[in-house]
Amino acid sequence: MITDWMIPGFGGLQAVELGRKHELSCIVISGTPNEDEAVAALRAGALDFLSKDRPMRFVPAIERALRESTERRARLDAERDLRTSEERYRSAFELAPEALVTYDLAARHVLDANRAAQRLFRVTPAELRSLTLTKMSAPRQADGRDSAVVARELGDRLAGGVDVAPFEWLLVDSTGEQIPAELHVVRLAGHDGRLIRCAIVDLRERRKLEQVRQRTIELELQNRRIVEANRLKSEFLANMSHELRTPLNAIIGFSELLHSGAVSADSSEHDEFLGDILSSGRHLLQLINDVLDLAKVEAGKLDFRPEPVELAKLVGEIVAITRTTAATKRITVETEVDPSLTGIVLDPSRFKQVAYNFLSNALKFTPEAGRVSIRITPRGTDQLLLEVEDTGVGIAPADLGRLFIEFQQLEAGTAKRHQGTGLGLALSRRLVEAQGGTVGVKSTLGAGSTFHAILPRVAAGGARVVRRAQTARNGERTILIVEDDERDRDAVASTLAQVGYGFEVARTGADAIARCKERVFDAVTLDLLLPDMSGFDVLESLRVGGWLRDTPVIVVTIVPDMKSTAGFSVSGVLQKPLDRDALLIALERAGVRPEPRSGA
Amino acid sequence: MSRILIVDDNATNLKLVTFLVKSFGYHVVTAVDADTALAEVRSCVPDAILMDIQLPGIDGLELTRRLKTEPHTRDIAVIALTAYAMKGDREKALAAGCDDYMTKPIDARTLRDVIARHVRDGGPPS
Repeated sequence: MITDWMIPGFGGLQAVELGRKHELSCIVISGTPNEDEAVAALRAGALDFLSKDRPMRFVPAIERALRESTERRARLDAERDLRTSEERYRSAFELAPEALVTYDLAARHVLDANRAAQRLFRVTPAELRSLTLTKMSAPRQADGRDSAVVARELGDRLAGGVDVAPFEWLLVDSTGEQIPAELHVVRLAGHDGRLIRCAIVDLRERRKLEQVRQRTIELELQNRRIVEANRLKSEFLANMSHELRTPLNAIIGFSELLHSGAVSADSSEHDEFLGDILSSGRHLLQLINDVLDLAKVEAGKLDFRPEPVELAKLVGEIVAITRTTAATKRITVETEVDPSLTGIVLDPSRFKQVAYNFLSNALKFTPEAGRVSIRITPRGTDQLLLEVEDTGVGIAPADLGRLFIEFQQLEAGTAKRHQGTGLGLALSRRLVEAQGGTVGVKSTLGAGSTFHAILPRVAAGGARVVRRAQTARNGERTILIVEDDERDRDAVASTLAQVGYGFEVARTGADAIARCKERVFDAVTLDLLLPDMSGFDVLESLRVGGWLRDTPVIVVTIVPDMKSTAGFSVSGVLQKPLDRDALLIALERAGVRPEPRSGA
Repeated sequence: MSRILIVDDNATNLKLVTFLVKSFGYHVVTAVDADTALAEVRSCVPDAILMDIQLPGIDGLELTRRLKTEPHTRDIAVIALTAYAMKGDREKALAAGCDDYMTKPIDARTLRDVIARHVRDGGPPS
């Protein structure tokens, strides 16, 4: 705009103001220029004040004005673009489905958060700014660490310019509900490095899906176990039928011969056949007794009648029963009963049953001219240790775990030679456990095996709930097995028992917590899917409550999801079906070895 | 006199069956496992075998399968004599190549009839 300074009824100054208002570059010309007017015009925003007498100056002034105008327009465009972009960003931030939070590390509070964050934490926009990281986090993280401590470390690292990889964090909303989440944190440029932006992924839905998935797998496995149990029962029935028919064949066949007069009463065969009938009858009786005992013990209806006993006498009786068998195979049977073991109170017939099972088993598997030792020694002040050692064929490590489990007769060809129902050892285990003891075996293939039972010196009387495994106290390392599935529990228990650990069993999370409050365990094996709560909940409440602060915990799970256990300090994660060696190695690594604690 | 090989790992049962089969008028050879049985088959070539199924090592079914694939033993009658008496056990025995199947406890008369059915000559007078 070029305007004259002297315009009748309308001053040059007003013209300049009008031009500036419309963002125009203004040049003022005057016939009578003076300095005051020039200053006033320039102050009002004119670009130039020229004398009409000097027209040669007009051209450069106009060129300048045009240049300035172009620049200004470009600046205005840029400003407008910036505004649009900011608005766009703002709506993306506000409407993002993920919760986004801008946090001031120095002031330790939220600067800005989008609507998703408001919904997640259940706060109003006004409450947002009062949110601190402490208020937004559960007091303790899933692994028991103090949230404030961890958050401070994290803040220091971020403030120090270190990037932080996405991590899991237990948040809490304004109502106190815990929100497992994954946090993605970036440092914002500028602001002295005090601002971070955090995207929050709510993991609750994912966790639920994981649980459903795990439950599905669990159910499938359970189904498979039921099918397998059913198969084992059928197999057991077939076995029983076979084992019952075998002595019956001799009984009926020989009786028929004697009865029909085919064998004369005064022949030597007559006597011999009668002897065969008798021993077959006894074998049959033994078989039936074992089956009935097993049924009773399974139903928890087995009675124990403890009375003061003399161990040496009981051992002598057992050895006498097996004397013929031992003599036939020229096996030396050694006995040793520690004389300091006095004041023993236990059910003599049940004790003999267990010792007999061990001994007859040892005799079966020991070759001619071998040696079998039966020993009873003190264990601590209130237990005794019964050991039966043989120089037999030994048992493959893979088969050790199945020895004490019902219906699990070893399929090895040599084992089949020795008649049995697959019940003797399983029954022995049940009998010992029902009296508050444990059983175990150590074996070297080709060199021999040692079966043992640990029993209290003074047994409690009456029928007991037999499924409850008892505590071994005297300095023995004791592991708490938290597992609701019986087969899995047996697998862990037999593994532990074999190498000399003691154990207690908890079938529910509540039971596990109660037991941990009662006593200190050397380690815990933890199933993640318990009937009443998740294994993590158990772990959390024990760690937080201080009941399990330093105790190694080994997670035994169907789906070993390392990520989901990452936040918890566990000593190992093992997959089902359990690998025995892996369990023992995990315990070893955690520093829990089967030998008694020193000074115990 | 026809020869019968009795295979059974249970000493008492072996004694009983041996006594019975001898009383029927046959010559009896015995074996307590597959290896001895194979040796006896080679040396005496029996007319029939009374085969227990549950044996240590190679079981009666496997032993029968082997005998039935060998040209010079496949014609020997194999009679399963077993305490496996559940559904499907007979089918298993016959599938392995057994010519007949009997369960324990044995009935002496049935045993005599079954052997006679598979041994052409030299059977005892009924």
